[in-house]
Amino acid sequence: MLRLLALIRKDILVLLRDKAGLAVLFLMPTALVLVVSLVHDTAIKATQDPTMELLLLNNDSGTLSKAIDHRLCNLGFFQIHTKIDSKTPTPEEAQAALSKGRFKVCIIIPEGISQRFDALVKELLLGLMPLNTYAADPYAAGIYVQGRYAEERKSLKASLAELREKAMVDIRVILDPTVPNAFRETILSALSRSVIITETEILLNCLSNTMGRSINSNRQWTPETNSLSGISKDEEGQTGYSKHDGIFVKIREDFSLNQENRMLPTSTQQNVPAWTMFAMFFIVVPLAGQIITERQNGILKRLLVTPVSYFAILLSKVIVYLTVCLFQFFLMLLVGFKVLPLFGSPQLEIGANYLALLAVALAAGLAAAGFGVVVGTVMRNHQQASTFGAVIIIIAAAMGGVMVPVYVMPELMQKISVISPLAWGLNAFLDVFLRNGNLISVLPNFARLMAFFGIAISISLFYRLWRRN
Amino acid sequence: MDNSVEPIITIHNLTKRYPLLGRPVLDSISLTIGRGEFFGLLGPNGAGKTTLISILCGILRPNQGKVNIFGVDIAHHTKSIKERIGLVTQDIALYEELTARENFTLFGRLYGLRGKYLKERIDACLEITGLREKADFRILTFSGGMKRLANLVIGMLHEPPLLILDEPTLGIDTQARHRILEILTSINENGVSMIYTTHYIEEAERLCSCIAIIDKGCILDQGPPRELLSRDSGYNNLEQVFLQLTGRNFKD
Repeated sequence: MLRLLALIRKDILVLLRDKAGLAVLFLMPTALVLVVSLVHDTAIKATQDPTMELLLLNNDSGTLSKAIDHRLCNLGFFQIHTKIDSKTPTPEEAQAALSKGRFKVCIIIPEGISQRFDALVKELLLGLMPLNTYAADPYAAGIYVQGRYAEERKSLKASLAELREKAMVDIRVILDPTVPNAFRETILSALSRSVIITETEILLNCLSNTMGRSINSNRQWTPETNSLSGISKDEEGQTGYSKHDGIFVKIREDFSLNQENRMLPTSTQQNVPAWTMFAMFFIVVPLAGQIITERQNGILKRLLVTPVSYFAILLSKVIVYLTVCLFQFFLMLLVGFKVLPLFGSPQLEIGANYLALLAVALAAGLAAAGFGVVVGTVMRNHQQASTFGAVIIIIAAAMGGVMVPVYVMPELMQKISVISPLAWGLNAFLDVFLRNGNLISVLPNFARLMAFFGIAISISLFYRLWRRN
Repeated sequence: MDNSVEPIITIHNLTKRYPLLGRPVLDSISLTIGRGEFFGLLGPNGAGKTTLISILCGILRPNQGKVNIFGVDIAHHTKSIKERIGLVTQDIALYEELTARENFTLFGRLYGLRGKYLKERIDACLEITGLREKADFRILTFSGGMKRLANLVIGMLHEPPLLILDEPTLGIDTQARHRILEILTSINENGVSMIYTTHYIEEAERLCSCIAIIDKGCILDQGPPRELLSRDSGYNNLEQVFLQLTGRNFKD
């Protein structure tokens, strides 16, 4: 027992005297938890949060818009906001708020929509066949529930179709690209329902007033059948109206201008370059380890006595590990092309600019090798190098969008992510995959990676010079 | 040093300080080593021997003073001097994952040896050191003595006119040490100048034509062994000279 205690005491002393090791043991995990939690925050909230915050901009003060507004607010599964920082925003400000991630959805009801709708309804009523024909039947006058009055229904349908072609009343729905499809459908369906019910009510009231009778408008209309307009699924594309549109009100979907309105990658397009970058930078462990081994067993001293420059000694390692990185890159591409589809994932699509891809892979490999060299040069032993190097890479990977795409992260993390070399490489790859990027478009990220490599090697050389003097 | 012998190394007023140490590691050392000499550098741990060797090899730069090797200032002609120096390190500085031949080929090429000449030199060194049969085995499989012999080969592969040896027989058995000392004597007889540091007094007495005793960064005394012994009638051997000058046990 005493011997065991003596050994425990020894191990505690050794641990406490390794200040750098202690820093790695406690500071690094703290940093890791902080970064990864922040990175995952939005993604996890999105799966847990039962309500969605929605920004509603009603720029109109008419009946239609107010009724739609009222219906949306009473639905119960949106948190409706009408102000930003206690101020009613302009459409541009609303869009900017979306781009920054403050809201996921914004609905803009334009000014004059109610007036325009009223005008269309009047035109519709004027175009109908004489209504006194239906005076005896409260459900007539163009409102068709059970297929009666087929002739009149046909007439109304034709009038509606004609007017719809002329109608230009849009409610705009701006969505964040990260909104899951299920939420998107919920929002659009809810809005569509509100619009159609409101339109129908107003139309019925108008008809009722014209006929001098009240018509019970609570008995029909399912937005799915869209029976008032009679638009069938086949006719959707032809008329320019979709299943979510109302009678005269169209619902126009836009995506927010988030990160230059970029297209979203498939899971394969996101993960193949992301984990390639991770793998490349993980060469820090063997590369730094090799440098430290050479220093500790005297080989570096022997190499420095030969008529070979220290730069050449480092360059040989950079070249070898760059080759490893390129092999990693091609291997990951192969996995994306051939292996992932076997498990049901989409096949990797890499765009057409292979030269740009190779340039990015080269720059990323050099940056990774440079990082390994500087860690091996500055760290004193294997434990420090492997722990420090590995944890830094994991943090940089989390920040850079490897584990969770950057566009899903909170605004603060999106801003911080720009300092991660893994983000530079990943963004450059995605530029080529998604936006037909070329050498010019990847140049900024290419330059950042090359600068990172240059700085790392410079630090290593200057450190050696300082040690020599 | 015998004044008729041409100097190969001239050290003048050499000082080296490390930031965290209070005193200089080398304190205004001046030394001259003649061509063809077998020069011994004796001193306790921390005396400054390794630092001095590192400066002579161009790995460290002094804070003050001048070092001339082969008649040129090492500060301005480091690369050309390195081509003519061989270093046998205290550590077994070999790639253990590589074979002996692979290690020798690597360092031979770094010294500019190529093709047939490189192969001949490797074969000759393997013969001299008795490692011919183990040439294609990984260093990892070598005994301590064999590793020391391989270490020696790297230093002499390119036939340097100056060979610097930092405790080349540390931690090996008598047979291996004997072999190394024989090799060194033979090389020296062929005109190669040597700087030799050791903790083994008997090695210094056996091999060295001139010895400098260094402690706390200063040269306490230097000269041929017999001259050092003659300084005091009470000296029977070099160890007594050393203990008298440094004032403590040699293996500290």
